[in-house]
Amino acid sequence: MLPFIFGMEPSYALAVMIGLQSVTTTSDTFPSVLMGIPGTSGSQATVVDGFPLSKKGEAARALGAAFSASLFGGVFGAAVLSVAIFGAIPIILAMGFGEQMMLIILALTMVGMLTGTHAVKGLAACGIGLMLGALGSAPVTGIERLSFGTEYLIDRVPLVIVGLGMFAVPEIVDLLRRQLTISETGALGTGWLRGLRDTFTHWFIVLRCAAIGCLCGALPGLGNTVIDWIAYGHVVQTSRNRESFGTGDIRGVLAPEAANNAKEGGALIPTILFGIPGSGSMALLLGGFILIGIEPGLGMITEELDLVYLIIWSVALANIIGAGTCLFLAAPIAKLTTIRYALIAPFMFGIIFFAAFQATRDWGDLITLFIVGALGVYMKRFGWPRPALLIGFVLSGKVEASIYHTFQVYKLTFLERPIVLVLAVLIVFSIFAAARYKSGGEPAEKGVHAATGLAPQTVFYFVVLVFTLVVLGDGLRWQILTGLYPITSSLLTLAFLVPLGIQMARAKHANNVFFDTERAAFGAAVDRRSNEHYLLWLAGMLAVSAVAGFVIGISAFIYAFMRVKARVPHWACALGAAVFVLLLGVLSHLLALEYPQGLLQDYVELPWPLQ
Amino acid sequence: MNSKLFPRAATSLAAAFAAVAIAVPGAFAAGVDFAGEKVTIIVPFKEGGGADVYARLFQPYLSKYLPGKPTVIVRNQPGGGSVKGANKFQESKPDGLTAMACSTSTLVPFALGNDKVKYDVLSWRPVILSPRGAIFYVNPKTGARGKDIVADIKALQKAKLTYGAKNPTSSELRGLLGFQMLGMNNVNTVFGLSSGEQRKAFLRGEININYDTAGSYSRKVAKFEKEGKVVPVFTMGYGAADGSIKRDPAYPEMATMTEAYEKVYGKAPSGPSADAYVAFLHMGVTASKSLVLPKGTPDEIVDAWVDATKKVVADPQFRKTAKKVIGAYEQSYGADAAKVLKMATGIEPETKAWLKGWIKERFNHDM
Repeated sequence: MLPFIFGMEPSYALAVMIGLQSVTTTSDTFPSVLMGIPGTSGSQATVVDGFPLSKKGEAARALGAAFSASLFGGVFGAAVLSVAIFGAIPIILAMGFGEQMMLIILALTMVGMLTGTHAVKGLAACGIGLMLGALGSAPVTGIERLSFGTEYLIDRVPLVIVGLGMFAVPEIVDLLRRQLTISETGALGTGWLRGLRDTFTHWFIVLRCAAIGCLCGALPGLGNTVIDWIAYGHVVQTSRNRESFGTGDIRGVLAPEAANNAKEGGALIPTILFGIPGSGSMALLLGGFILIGIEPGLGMITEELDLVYLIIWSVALANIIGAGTCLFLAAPIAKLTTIRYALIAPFMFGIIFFAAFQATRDWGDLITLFIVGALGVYMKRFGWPRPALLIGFVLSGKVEASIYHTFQVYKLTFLERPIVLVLAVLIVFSIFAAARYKSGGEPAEKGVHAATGLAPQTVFYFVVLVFTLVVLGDGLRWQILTGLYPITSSLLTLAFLVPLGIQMARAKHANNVFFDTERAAFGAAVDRRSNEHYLLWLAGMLAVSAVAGFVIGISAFIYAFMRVKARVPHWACALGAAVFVLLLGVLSHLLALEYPQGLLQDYVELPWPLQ
Repeated sequence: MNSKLFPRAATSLAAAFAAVAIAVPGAFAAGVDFAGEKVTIIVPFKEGGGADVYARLFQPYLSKYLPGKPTVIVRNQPGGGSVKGANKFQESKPDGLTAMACSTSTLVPFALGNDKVKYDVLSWRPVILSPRGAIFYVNPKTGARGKDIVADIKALQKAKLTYGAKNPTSSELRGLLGFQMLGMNNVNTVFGLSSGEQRKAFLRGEININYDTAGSYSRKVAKFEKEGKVVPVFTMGYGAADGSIKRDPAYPEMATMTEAYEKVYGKAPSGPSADAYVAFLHMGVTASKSLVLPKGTPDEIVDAWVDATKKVVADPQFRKTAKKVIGAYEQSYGADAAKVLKMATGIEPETKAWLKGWIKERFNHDM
């Protein structure tokens, strides 16, 4: 984006940048709903209910609801922005370290809503996420923890890789095993108009979540990636009938999508008012502003009000046009869900590894995606809720930093501040709401909760336990500022793991604590292969890439996969691989991208785009 | 002033003066031609940050002025506070097709001997070096008024101060060293804050003293002076061609830290803390941002680049856009820039040892 706007007339450039910025949160719904791949880190929560809807054959409805909710949220955000710039400064300045810490703790308590059928497993999964956040440099001292001597882990594990690994990889593998096409029914089902009507039916949810999104976007401390989860958690918390969440409840799509778009308008508030970005994407925007010679800040309100309103209208218009376009595209694009999955899957693997590589442009990205993906696959198999891990991970850095900052600046006096007290009350409510939620039913003797064949889940449990102890051991090496977080997060996880382990050891009959999807009848399984089989395919792709570079590796993978799994004639496989290579090449040219190189590239100069 | 404090620097800035005024014809660049090639500027930082904006400012103009008018792209390789990107850059081919945007954060770990650093700043061939002044400001609740520097320092010595920094070995050390030298001993340092977060926390009143680069200050903080929320106290100063510390050209009416010291204590600063301060001054101010070519780049290629950047800086359109980012400071080029980088990163072993001990003692942190 940045290379293009330079040299443009400021007002055009502004409109382009803001327009592009505002609608990524609309269109990112396509991969989330259709393929279970979070399009941006802001649309992860949409996957939880959006993708099941797609599997039920209601992709177009989910998309329609998502886009109309996004549209509403975006326009709402723009509307709030237009008023807020005149009065928001004192509110934003009131959100100090103490208030931010309380917000983060509030967000963590929302995890209680998303812990799935077994609360303790959910809390332990959140703990794993918190511990994963300990890998890399400590935010306060800059000392590397648990980097295992690698240069890659000087920085934390990139969020996009955790998101893709937790959601995309397990879903793709699962689909390959179970379903011929993404949509179970092989058809499209109800159309996007129904989705539009859903937005109207649940207008109050959409409004509330848009407000939440806008508010959280404007306030410092939470960052962008957790806002859609907060909205999702909120709608679950405030619903009487919670059973259907996670299996394709349209409200689970409306909530995060509305919040997502509204937050962009919200995040623009501190960006414009202070010239201080409210988030990473705003930082980019600011960089763009400087390049075209615009100076955000209070001066803008007084001297260049017309530019401010240009921004606001760009946000609103972009949302309207973006949502409109997406709505019309919804039906044709949703047809993708009726294509044989074995044909789509290799391309999707290619796309997600490509996306992972953009995180830090390092081979470590691909390897980490593989590892996290494997973790996700097994978590899905053994019923450890992945949203809980993700929230723990997303908030881990902020938890650590905000607790330290609050105590360093205030000691305990932060409790005297009014907003802190209000948030404390909200936290209590949130914990109460989480504790009240009990999932129902006696588990069946056969099926996922069976008490037989426990070896695999036990092994997984011990792997988690060992990891926790490793983190604890590492934390003890460091002085307090660096080591406190790994120690507390691992101890917290142990506090959940120990009762879990005891329960697993003592339960003799089918029990909610046991969960293994392999124990359930497979129904109309497409392919009797195991998870490990597909993971090995991916490992093979990485191995080929290590030798010959990613471009060759992925094209070989696509070719082989289409041939073996989809039984497509050779020429079609070759065509598929070639198209993908061409796509990679075009992207590389336009966006100045590089792809992971293998040993071959070190010795031989290959023609573009194989390098 | 102690001559050991200021190693001999070249007449870099005097030369830069002349160079900026004239667009030097391509006499050096006789054999160098990048026609049809792709030139990559590596930015070891995220998009939107200071170094990124710096590189992107130059990008289209370099395309215009480099011989052969090549395509110039910017590639971001963030990680490890720029250590990762710089490590990768060290391996680049010295054919003039790869350059890097270097910033203070790249220099500090090298100068302090961070063990993840595999790059050698002194092996690089700098093309252009852009200084950026830094200004120290406080919350008026600390008692400083901005009228009399000695009274302000005395007030700050008595006040309870809170200061933000990234980590115990980052560029904010310049502030901490200065505070120690000025007898401001009641400083509660809050780590883990980026410069943006430091500024926000200052505006919220949670930290009450802060440093900012001159550009960021005038763009983002100066406006609050009118509301009585901000009092600028002194600038870090500016490394002049002869090695002395002069007043910051962007704030000529403001005293430097060294002047403040002299007024309060009646003599020039000396000793290891002063040496360390000067090192950080050069890394943070004099050598703030630069464009460099890899180790082993032949002279004629370096000259072609220097030539092109001089033309860029003289371009009126560039001057208009760059004013807010590069400011009124004189640029230095080529060999002169190299001398400044050497001076900036060349911390004497005794000073380094003293610094290590000081950081361990104050923050319980091993460098």
